[in-house]
Amino acid sequence: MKFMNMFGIVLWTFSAWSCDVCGGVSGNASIGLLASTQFHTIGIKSSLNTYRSYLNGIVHSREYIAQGEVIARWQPHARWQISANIPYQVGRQKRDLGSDFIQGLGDPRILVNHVLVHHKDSNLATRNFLSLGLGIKTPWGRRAPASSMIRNLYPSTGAWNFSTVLLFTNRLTEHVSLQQEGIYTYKMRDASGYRYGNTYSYAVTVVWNKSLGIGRLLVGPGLQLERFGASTEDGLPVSGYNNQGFVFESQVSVNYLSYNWLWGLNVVQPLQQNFNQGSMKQGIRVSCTLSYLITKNRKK
Amino acid sequence: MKATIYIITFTLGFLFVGTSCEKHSEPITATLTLLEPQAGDTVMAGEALHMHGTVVGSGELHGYSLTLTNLTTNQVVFSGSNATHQTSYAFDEHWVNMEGATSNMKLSLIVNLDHEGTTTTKSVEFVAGN
Repeated sequence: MKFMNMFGIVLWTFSAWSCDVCGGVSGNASIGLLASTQFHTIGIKSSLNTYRSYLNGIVHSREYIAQGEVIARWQPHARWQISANIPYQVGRQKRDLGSDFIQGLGDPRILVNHVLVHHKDSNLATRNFLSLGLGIKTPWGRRAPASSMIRNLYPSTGAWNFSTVLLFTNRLTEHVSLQQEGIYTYKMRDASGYRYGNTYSYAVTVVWNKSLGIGRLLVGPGLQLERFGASTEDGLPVSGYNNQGFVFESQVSVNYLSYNWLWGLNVVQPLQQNFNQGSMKQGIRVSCTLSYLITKNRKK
Repeated sequence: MKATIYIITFTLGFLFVGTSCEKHSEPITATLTLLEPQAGDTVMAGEALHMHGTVVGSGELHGYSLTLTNLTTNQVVFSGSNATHQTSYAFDEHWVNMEGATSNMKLSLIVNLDHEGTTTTKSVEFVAGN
């Protein structure tokens, strides 16, 4: 059961990169860290995001973005982790007078994470863990034509993103740890000159873990603040709706690990938000993850 | 005596139901706002026209429709309607100018205030350029 010792920091948090239905919401890259360095992982993830768009305070459309992803993480070294995601997205916008439906491959992304600090106690349980990750989102998914009026519904933003992810976890008690994650994402412009603003986010999660039945249960309630910069076009500020704003949200993750299978459910509920001059509001987001953990090295 | 009570109860109940079905004493009104396009705007060929606007009623409204007509050819090039009962509506639609020739255009917003055909309308005229 030695490998159970690191559960205080085993938490697959919500992660999203390119689902820019509103030009930047969910534009960050959560490392979604399985902080252990003892596993490779491969899995699938399904998520549903909802949005509402407003005109003078009146709803004029509703957006539903569903994503399926293949996710994998490779541990080439005890202090290096490489994770990659390939998403497929289905987006629907329902308006009073019509609807649009766009689906296709999303932007693949890769994240290289370096473990800077990994303190363990005498039982080999992790006490402190600090990592720094660098991520790239490619623009290879299905993107909107330059003339599109529903740019935000497309799976790809058509631009490269570069992220820095700093994650710190420390164990508070035998069953409780605290995870903090700060992310900065720099966004390039697409072929038409449109550029979503850079994003910043900070998330804090309390992770509680307990042995349950044939596995281990991890529950992680937390809070997250995301800040979105203004969009530009050919380097000039976009007039009117420029996708600037913030979202402050609560989230809870429930994970269960048994026989190398990790099941995860994540629910995010915005608490306060002001995005795009109040013209768009993010609704509840739900995601489910199933990962298989491949033991890399049982010896320590 | 029992029969009298039944008759009185039935009569009162009938009157109550009848009163509930009475029409609104105040006629419903609606404020129509067309944010885009503005009168006299020109939308060049291949460009998208944004049709944005709101409707705010003094009570429950009975739906609305939006119609874009080419006055030069007398052809309807876009139309849509919403029959849901709400106190307010907002729309955000787009139409790409593929008319091929310079045309006078008219966007009409028609709101149904009841089911008897009472409506209120707002229109704006602009130009589809070529």
